[in-house]
Amino acid sequence: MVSDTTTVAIPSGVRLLLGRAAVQVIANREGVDLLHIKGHAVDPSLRDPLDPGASGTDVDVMVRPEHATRMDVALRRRGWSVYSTYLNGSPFGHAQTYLHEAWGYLDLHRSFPGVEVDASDAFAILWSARSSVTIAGVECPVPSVSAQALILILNAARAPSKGTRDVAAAWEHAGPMEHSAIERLASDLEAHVAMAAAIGRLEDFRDHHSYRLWRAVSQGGTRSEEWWGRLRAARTWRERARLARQLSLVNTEHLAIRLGHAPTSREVAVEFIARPSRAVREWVGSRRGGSRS
Amino acid sequence: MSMLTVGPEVAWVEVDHTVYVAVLPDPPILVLEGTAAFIWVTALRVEYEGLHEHVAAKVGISPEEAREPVSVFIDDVRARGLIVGG
Repeated sequence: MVSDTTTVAIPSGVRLLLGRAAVQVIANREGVDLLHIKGHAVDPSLRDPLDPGASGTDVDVMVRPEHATRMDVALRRRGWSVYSTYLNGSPFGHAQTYLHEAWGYLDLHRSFPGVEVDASDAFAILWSARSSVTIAGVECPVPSVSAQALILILNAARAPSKGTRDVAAAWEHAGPMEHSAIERLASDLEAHVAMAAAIGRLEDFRDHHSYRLWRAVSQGGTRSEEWWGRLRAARTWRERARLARQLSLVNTEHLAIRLGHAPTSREVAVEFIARPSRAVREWVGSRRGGSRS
Repeated sequence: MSMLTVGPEVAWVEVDHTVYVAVLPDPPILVLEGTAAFIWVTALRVEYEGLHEHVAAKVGISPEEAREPVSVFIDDVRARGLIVGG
């Protein structure tokens, strides 16, 4: 009556639910503060029942930044391997992706794109208003419903075509009280520019230092436009230096995914040469189109 | 009279009359189908002493016939750490 996974296919949704619970159990053992976001962790009031992909394809959690290293060590000890790193996974450097043979993918967020206050302060704000949901029988902390709505909105700012349903559920269908709560939180987290990009109010922030970044990200700007916007939005010299290094470094993880195998030294070298010329092509293309200055 | 409860660090999900359960944070995922899934779900909401009667009513046999297989199943999942109490 009891069988194991060698003979029975496990639905992907089941893997995700058990994977979330597994990550929480690891956090509990290690005394790590996590907030579960997106997918199954989203409050039913913010889910589109007609969206078959609402439960997502991976597990997303935010970790208290001071606990990120401890969680990383614990995850690796329990069979999670690093799929892409903070530095190489996304231009925002916000999440590290892990893969487990049974539970699938996990995105461990140490910050969230669009939130401009210090990552530790942002987590503390979200943590102070947390609630919890039971996932596969395990209690999992989640941000407040207003914070969940804001996270969906900020996520949509980076993927406008995919995020339409989320913006509708989190913002357009919300009432005045919910709007006030979300806007207040966006202000506390200094996330109002990214939020404006998602809900069509970005032009209200033309003079803001993050305006160009979010215009490029939300409206499909070239890589060069996004990079310059990111540089302008950077608040510290350290961040600017990191961005400057990114311009010249080849992301070997992304290259491996694109090539389908670990890149050879020659392939890395070819990519290194190709990137500036690609940037030039993008720049020329955008000038010819005359759409952006 | 006593209730069975899920063991510590055990997670489970029921989908389409199938129960998927694991002792976390590691695999394997164990799969309970058919009567096993019914016993699992029922065991967590009724007193252990009357569990075999619910199973008997579900599958159409006498409570006496159901007593031993139910007991064997519970002993099995208890030994695996999936369930405690009873």
